Formats: sequence, C-alpha cells, structure tokens
Amino acid sequence: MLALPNSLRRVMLRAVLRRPFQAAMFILGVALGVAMIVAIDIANASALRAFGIFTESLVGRATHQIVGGPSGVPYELYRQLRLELGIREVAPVVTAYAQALELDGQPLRIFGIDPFAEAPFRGYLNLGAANANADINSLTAFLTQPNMVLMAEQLAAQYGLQEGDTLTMRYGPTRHTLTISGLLRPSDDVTAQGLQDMLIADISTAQEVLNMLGRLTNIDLIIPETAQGEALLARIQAILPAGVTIQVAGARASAVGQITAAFNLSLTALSLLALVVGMFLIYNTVTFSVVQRRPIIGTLRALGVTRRQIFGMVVWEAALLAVIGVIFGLIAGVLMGRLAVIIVTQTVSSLYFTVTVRNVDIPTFSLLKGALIGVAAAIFAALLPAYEATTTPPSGTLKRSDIERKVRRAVPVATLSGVLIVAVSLAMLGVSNLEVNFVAIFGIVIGFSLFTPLVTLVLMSALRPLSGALIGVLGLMAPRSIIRSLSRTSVAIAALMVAVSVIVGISAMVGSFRNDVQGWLADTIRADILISPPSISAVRQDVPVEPRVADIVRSIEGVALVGVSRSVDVIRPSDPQPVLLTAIDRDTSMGTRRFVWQIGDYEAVWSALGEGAVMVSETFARQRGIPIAAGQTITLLTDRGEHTFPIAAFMVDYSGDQGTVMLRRHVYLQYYDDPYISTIAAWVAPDYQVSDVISAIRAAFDGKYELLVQSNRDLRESVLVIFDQTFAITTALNLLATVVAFIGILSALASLQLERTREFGAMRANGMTRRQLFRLTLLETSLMGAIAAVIAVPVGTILAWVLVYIINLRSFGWTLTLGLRPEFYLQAALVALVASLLAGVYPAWRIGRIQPARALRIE
Amino acid sequence: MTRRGILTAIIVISALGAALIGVSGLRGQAQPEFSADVVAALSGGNIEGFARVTGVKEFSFPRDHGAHPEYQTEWWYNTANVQTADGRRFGLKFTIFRRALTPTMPERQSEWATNQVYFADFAIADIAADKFYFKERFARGAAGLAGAQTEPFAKIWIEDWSITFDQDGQGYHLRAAEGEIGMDVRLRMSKPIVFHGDRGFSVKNKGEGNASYYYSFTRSLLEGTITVRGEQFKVSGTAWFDHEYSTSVLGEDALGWDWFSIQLDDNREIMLYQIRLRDGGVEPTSKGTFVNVDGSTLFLSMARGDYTITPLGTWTSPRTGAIYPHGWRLTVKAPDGLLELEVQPFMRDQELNTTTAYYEGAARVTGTQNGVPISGVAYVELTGYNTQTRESYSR
Repeated sequence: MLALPNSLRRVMLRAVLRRPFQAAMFILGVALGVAMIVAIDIANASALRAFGIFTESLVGRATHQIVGGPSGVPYELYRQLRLELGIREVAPVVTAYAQALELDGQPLRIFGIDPFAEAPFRGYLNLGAANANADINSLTAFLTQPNMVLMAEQLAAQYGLQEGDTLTMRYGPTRHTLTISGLLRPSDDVTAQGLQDMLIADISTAQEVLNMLGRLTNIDLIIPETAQGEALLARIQAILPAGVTIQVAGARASAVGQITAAFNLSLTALSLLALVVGMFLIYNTVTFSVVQRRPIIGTLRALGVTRRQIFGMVVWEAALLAVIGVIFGLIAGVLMGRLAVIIVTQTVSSLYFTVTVRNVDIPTFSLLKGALIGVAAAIFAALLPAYEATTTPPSGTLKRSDIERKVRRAVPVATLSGVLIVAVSLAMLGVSNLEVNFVAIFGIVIGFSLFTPLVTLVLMSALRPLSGALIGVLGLMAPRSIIRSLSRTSVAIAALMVAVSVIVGISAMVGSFRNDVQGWLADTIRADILISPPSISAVRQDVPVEPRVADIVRSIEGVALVGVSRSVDVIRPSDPQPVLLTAIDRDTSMGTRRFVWQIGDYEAVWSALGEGAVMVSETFARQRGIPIAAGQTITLLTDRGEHTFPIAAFMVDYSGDQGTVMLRRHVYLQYYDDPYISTIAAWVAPDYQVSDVISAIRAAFDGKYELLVQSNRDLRESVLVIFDQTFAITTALNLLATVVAFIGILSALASLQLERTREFGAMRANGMTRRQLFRLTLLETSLMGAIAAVIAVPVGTILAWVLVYIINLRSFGWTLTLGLRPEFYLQAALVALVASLLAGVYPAWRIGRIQPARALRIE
Repeated sequence: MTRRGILTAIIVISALGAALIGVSGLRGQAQPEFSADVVAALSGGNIEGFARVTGVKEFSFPRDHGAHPEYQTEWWYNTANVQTADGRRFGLKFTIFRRALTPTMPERQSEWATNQVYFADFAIADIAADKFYFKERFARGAAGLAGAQTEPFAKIWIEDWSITFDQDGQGYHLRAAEGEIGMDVRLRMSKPIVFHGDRGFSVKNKGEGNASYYYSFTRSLLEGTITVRGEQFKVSGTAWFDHEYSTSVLGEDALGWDWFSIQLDDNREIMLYQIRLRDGGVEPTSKGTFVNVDGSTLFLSMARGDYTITPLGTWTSPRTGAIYPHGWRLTVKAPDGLLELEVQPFMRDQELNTTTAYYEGAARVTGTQNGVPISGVAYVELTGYNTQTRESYSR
C-alpha cells in the first residue's frame, strides 16, 4: 500500500529497537487481544464441532426422523413401515445417556440399533477385523446375549478396558452391568470423535437397559427429494399414530445450534472487548513513539521525506509490531483455547446438551480471523498518531507543549463525538438484534471513554487546590502534570475505565442474576426434601423413575406430604425445538411462585391448571414468540393427537434457558401415556428433623433405587454451584480483560514517566529527593486510577443495565432485577486503584534511579 | 450331504457378515474373510447344543412348513420357469433362509431379542432381454420383521417378502418386490409332496446326525404377475419348492456343488447333484430323486452310476471372475430306460452376486429316452466356483 524507501525502513527499525519496552507493550497489547479472540473462537468451535460430529454420528445419512413424545415411538410402526409400506431405508433407534461408573461417571450414550438395518445409515462403525472368528462370535453374543455393547477401541484403551470386561452403567435410579462384546475401530477421525461418547448396543439390549420395551426413541429414514419421496412421505404421514410425527433429520440439532448462538455471541463479544482495551494500548504506544521521534521526523521532513512517507513509516511500524504480536497472540490463544474449551464445554453441557470435547480443533479460520483482526486493530489504532506525525513541521521544533495545546483544543471535539456515539449507541439498543446490541455496548464504552479528557481536566483542575492544601507541592504538581500530558494520560485512564466499567457491568449482571435465582429458588422450592435420579445434565431431569418410588417416600415416617413431577420433551408442531413439559401434582412453591402475567391470583391459576390450562415460563414464551398476554394458547402433540392448551400464567423460571411448560399431572396423564415420574418432593411433618427423614428415605432406597435425596438447602446450594459454573467463563474473560487493561495502564504510565526523564532530571537537580519523586509518580498514577474509577461508576451502571434489561432478556428471555450493590463499585474502584498504583511502581522505581546529570546531559 | 448345506452355511455366515458389515460399513471388502473363517468354524464344534436329525420323523402340515428353530439352518426354496402368453420367458428364484445363531436363547424382555436370523434372495432372469436382476435382504427373526408362522396357515416372511400357504395346504403365494423387480404369484401343487431320502430323512454322510429333513413340491403350477423395470407381465409356468432343515456340518474336503432340478414336459421330475471335492473327485454320497408322473419316487445314487454329469463348456463371470461350467450332458437311469439329456441355461449370466456369489440359472432341457425326443426346463445351481470362496475352503 505504502511503499517505503529502505532508508526510512531502517529509521523505523532503529526506532523500534531503541525502545524495546514500548515495542514489547505494543506486541503485548496485540497479542492479548488476539489471544482472547482466538481462544474463545477455538472453544466455541470445538464445542460446536463436537456437537456437530455427535449429531452427524447419530443422524448419519438419515434425511427424516420419526419422533414421538415422552413414550417415544411404538415399535409396531417400524414393522409397518417395513412390511406394509415396504420401505427399505429405515432404521430403528433406541438411545439415551447413562453414566459409566468405572469411567469416572462419564455420560455415555447408549445407542441401540438393529445391525441388519444400519448399513444405509451410519457407516461409521467398524469392527476391528483382526480375528474374524472372534468378530462373528462377538456379534453373535452382541445380538443374542443381554447387556452386550460395542465400544470404541480408543475409549476402551483410555480406561484400560478390553473385550469381555464389564461396565456399570447408571441409568436413572438403576444400575446395569454391561459387557463389552467387541471393540470398534473407527476408520477416520470424525467417526472416532463420534464414537467417543457411545456404547453401541443391539436394539434389544438398549430397550432393556433404557426401559424402552416396545418403544423406540426414533425411526430414521432416508427419503429422496423427489416426487416419489414426497409421495412416500405422505404415505408415512397417513399411518403415523397420534403423538408421533416425522421431522427433517437434524432439525433438533440445528435448533440446538440456534440456542447456543446467543451464548456464543456473548463470549465473542467479551473477547472483542479485550481487543478494544488492547487497541487503547496500541494507540498509546504508537502515539508515544511518534511523539518521541518528533525531532527525527522533523529532520526527515527537512531532508525531503514526504508526509505520505512519514505516515507510511508509522503505519508500517505498527503493522510490523502487530505481526509479531499476532504470532504471540496466536500461540497464546491456542494454549488458552485449550483451557477455555473445558470451561465452555462445562457450561454448554450443563445448559444445553451433553458434549464431551476430547479433540480441540484449531480451525485455520479462527487463526486467520484472529490474525487479521489483530493487524487491522493495530493499524487502525495507529492511524491517528500516524496522521499526527505527518503534521510535524520540517523544523522539528514542535514541542510536547504544542501537542498538548492541540489536544486541549481537541477536548470539546472528543467530548462532543463521545456524546454523539453514546446517543447513537443508546438508540441502537432499541433495535432488537443481538449483534446490533453488542455493537451498541461497544459504542457506549468507546463513547464514554471519549469523555475522559474532559473529565480528567475538570476533576484535576478542581482537585488541585484541595490536594495542594493537603499534600503540599506534590499535591499541586501531580494533577497539573496529568493535565499537561493529557494526550497520554487520558488514553491510559480511558483504557482502565473501560476495563473497570466492564467489571462493574458484568459483576452487577451476574450478581443480579444470581440474586434472582436465589430468590426464585426460595420462592418455588419450598419442599423440605427433594429426590431425583443422579442426572447427567444440570438443567434437565427426564430420566424415568417408577411412580412406586413415590409410594415408598410416602410411607416413611415423618413425611407429611409428597409431590411428584415429570419432565419430558414433547413436540410442538412446526417447531423444530422440543418443548420441555413439566407435570406436577403439587406445586413446590406452595403458592409463592412469581408470575410476569397471570389470569388471577395463585388459586385462580392453580384451578385453571386443574382444568387443563398450562403455565409457560417467561423464557419459553419469549424464545418461541408467544406474546406475554391474556388469551394465549400453546399447541402440543400429545398421545391423543394435537391439543391446544390455554395458558393461565407466564411464570418466572430460571430452571433452564430454554424454558418450560408446566401442567398438572392429572392433565398430563390424560394426554400422555407415560406413568413415570422424574423427581419427588417431600414435606416433613412438624416435630421431625429433616435430616432424620432423609436418612430414613435413603435407608428405604438402599440397594434398590439409586436416587439423590437432598435437603432443600443442599439443593439450592447445588443449583447455585451450577449457576456459578455457568458463569465461570464470563468471570474468566472478565478477569482477562482486567489483565489487558492493567498492562495497558502499566505501559501508558511507564511510557509517560520515562518520557519525562529530562523533566525529572531537572527536578532532581533542583533539589527534589528520590522519595519525593517516587511519591509524585505514585500520586499521579493513583489519581489516574481514581479518575478511571469515577467515570467507570456511571458507565459500569449503564453497562449493567444494558446487560440485564436488554442483552439477557433478548438472548435468553429472563427478566432480571438489576440489583446494584456497593460492593460491585468498591471492587471496581479497588481494581482501578490497585492497578494504577502497581502500574506506577515500576516507572517510579526507574525514575528514582535517574541520575540528574545524565538525564540533563541530553538537554 | 445335501446340496445346499454349504451354500446355506456360506450365506448364513455372510448374513452375519452383512450384519457385521452393517455395523462396519465395509461392505464387500471384509465379507470373504468372514465367509472363509466362519465356514472353517462351522466344520468345528459350532453345532453343539442344536437339535440333530437322527431318524425318520412323522411330518405334519402346516406345522412342518413353518420354522424349526432348534435346528441350526433351514430354508424355503422357490425356483420357477415361467412365460407370458406370447411366449416371453422368465426365470424366477426366491429363497428365504433361517439360521439360529445359538442353540438356546437366554430369557429376554425385549421383543427384538432373538437368536434367529432370516435372509433371502430374490432374482428374475429376463431371458428375452438377456438381463438378470437380483436382490437380497437380512432381518432378525423378531419384532415381526421376519419369521415363520403356522397358524392359522403357514407363512414364512422376511419383511414384505413372503411365502404364504393357502388354507387348504395345496397352494401358496409368493410375494417379493424391491427396486426394479417384483413378483406376486400364486401356485398350486400339481403333485404330491416328495420326501427325499428315507421319507424325508436325508442322510448327508456317515456321521451320526449328519442329515436333514427335506421335502419338495416338484411341480407347482404358477400364475401371476411379475414386474421388471416397471413393466408388468402376466406369466404362468412351473415352479419347484424345497423345504429343508438340519444342523449340518460341512465336509472339510468339499469344494462346491452342481445341482439340478429338472421338470420334463412329460410330467416327470428329476433332482440330482454332485458335490465336488478338493482333490478333484466327487463326494460318493451325491444323489438324486427321480419323480414319476404319478408322484412315486426313485432314489438315484451317483456312486452306483445312476446318473452322470458332464460339463460341455464354461462361462466366466465378468464381475467375480469365477469360471462356471456352462451346459451339461446328463444321463439318468430311469426305470423305463436311460434318459440322455442336455441342459443349457436360457441365458449366460444368471449369477447372483449377493453377499456370497453363486449361480442359480433357468435352463432348457432337451434329450431323448429310448430314441424318443423329450424336453423340459430346469434350474441349475453352481457353487464353489468363485475363486475367493474356493480359496477360503482350502484354509
């Protein structure tokens, strides 16, 4: 783009080499930003790809799937498809997750298939044919013996398992001992990944282990996209029993992709935030190097170097350093990505679907994207300083004071553009598009950072008399020197402010959320004891438990009341996403459930439910586009066919991000042939100790049912643990952004102070002690930290407000109450002060060592 | 040794192989290996625990048309030479096989659990067009997908392919369709059931229990519709039906066999075969059955010189590279004089390149008896010519 003569290139290189510290800071700024982007990208991509592979391995080449409600699909339908419709490319599947106790409780999908029907569908399984006899024997056993499974060779090797070994699998309240009848040797990596989470079983075994006798999870079909295919679809439709429907295969999978999109977007936004902070860093460094080289640039101009070439030199320098930064950033990003994958996977698993990522993919695209963004951001940040460099007159006499004067003149412009950017951003929040909203958040942050020079000016001018009176000369000097180097200080302050306000915003958001979840738990779970099967996913409880378990609980002395609930996925026609339906016979909230809309008081809602109405969670309504208003209905596919349920209330619910539809058990049993329950709640009679009753229940279950019996308190705690886990990634990213900001301010302050070496030399020569100089430096930096904290308070509050009321609501559909607690601000202020103080220590130490004579010699 | 023992064994193994391949996605590649080693395995102790055919039994129908799951292998074999009203010829072949994977089955709750595997071949030879079509399928004998019932009438089925007996037991109905071919034909038995060997007790070799129960409908009159590439043909003709079950063991020295079912136009039928041995000789127990016009039968022994089989030429399969004999001169010592016959397949390529490749072809029969010209139709089955299969025997 800009050709640079060799001589200039050398000038540029020398400049870089002469200031290794600044170069390092520049590189660090770029590297950290890039690393964050790459790490998050890798984490997201790996989790999604793992899910994609998993879906692929499940769906195979199927184009359509026949699915049913809680009781699945009757197996007779499969026979009908083969015998009556003569369909050949059709395969039955019985599958569910179970926990492998010997494999550290890892969830494995038991995937039950009919090997005779599989060939057209999932060609990904491959028996190691080292010994064909052994294979035939193992296949015979696989088909005829109970509890036989096939397992991937790699997975077996990982846990030191061999053919013939047994595995204890826990499915809901029961354990099964399964025997590995053979090992699968996947032919390629994708297959290998798909198989990592699976135990392949004959369909008969899967039915027996997963309690699916007579039923199938789904029926897979390959139907060509031709007129004949259409006709076949119509013939299949015609014989589908009530409660069963045919869907395009993978529809659920893509729905899952949409669900996690919001989650991914927020992560990406957070990683971009790190880059924004990094850009401040870059801007600072480039400005500094330009300012320092003013005399040289002036000389160069005098020698006939054009403005264009000067501009090019600065930009090239930035690009060069950026490339180095990008290289480090990519390496760090890949390393950090491996860590981030673990955190992201945990969150995704607890919120959305079970996913195990064993292979961290490093997509070239992510690296390329990170590199491009890094270089572009660096060049962008360097543009303004580069332009400024071109304004250096050939005489080279322009002094810092001239620049500062110019900057002072620019303050109103900056402030006005800040106001403008903030205004536009706030307007953008009105658009209900998450991407636009995230851009608006950036806008708000950047807009407010443009207020920094003005606020700094005003605050420091106002503070000067006061601090002068309090601390004396140093108190007079420090604010002035901040104002004097406004071009530098304000940028450092802005960078710190951004980081701190993000901390305030995110802590306030997470804190409010946590607070609401706690309140909701207290409101809705008022039973003393809660019993559930050890589940695999944190937010769902859909493993079937026999209803007689509730009778056992009822019979325990000290149990006053028992309530049962059943959670199942059901189908909402024309909605690819399943609907989580929860049937309850007694409300654990005892009437204190909170609603965002309801037909009348709680009694009215409960009796409407008794007559066949449902309650819909707010999140569900928002995500599926059901207006939160009177007169709404929801149509579900039941075992009696489609049925439209009136909605009696929209409830506040944090049990999962996809929301739930709740109805009463007797209504559920009317529409679904599913006698099972999922969880049990028990109330303890007065005069009995909850812990005693829990022990009694555990004793009654002993050996027969493996169920988790928890006190109300334990349950609430475990929910909060999951909550904290979910936000672990947010906290981690937040922390990283702070680190970037810290490095930013460190670099800015260090540069600033180093730049003033001569000034300090003069001060020392005039009798200022080392100690005084040290104190002056620290005073200056902590003042800057204070300014950052002051601006961060309103900005952080606005961010929190936006995150709570706009981003969260639009991403997930939860209405949260913004709870602003002083500790969020205190914490942020502390971070700002500590960061700035720490950042001041190194320069202060350096300055303290200045030998006045040497410093002045340059003069 | 009965003619289809080896074939069945191979196909059974292949069925397992196919199931395995269903699991492995390595269709075709891994299969010969399975055939090989499992045939070897079958000549070992795999029959342990299965019921054995040890003596003459009283057949009872329709019950015995059904499955005998305590025996390891069983098949229902249909071949037919048919033609349209204007004389366009077709060959039909439809067999359902059953194989028990284990002699007993642990108690299982799932209706899908079974030790019975069913598989089937269906082929049509479009002689005028010189085109041969074949299909095969496998299914578990459970969940209603495949099986055999005898009440209220006998029916053997694998998914939507079926052999259904009429209530009176004198006729049956064959239905099979897939892709470009299909058939829906009704048959009436024109002759009494022929029980091979000693009243259906067909000794295979000298070992105790090495025998099968084996009966045939040697001439069934067929009427119905077949479909070839979307075109329907009303056809009629004569069909042959075999039902045989056993817990058989293969001779280690067997290489393959040549089997003939002949329907002469004068209403007589002949079944005969020879098992070829690895040393180039012929299994001495190779035998046949001669069926008179009235349905009475005559035992034919190859060792005794009751019949001879002389190949006249060869045909090389372009797909498998197997070199099959093509055209034979047969002599059969009938009670009323020596039959001198020439059997020529109606078309060359009638090889079923299914999981295990073999030849099953419709053929024209010409010849003389006592100087009088005679003619008829036949089906010829040739196994053990596929190089890969043959190699597998020698292991």
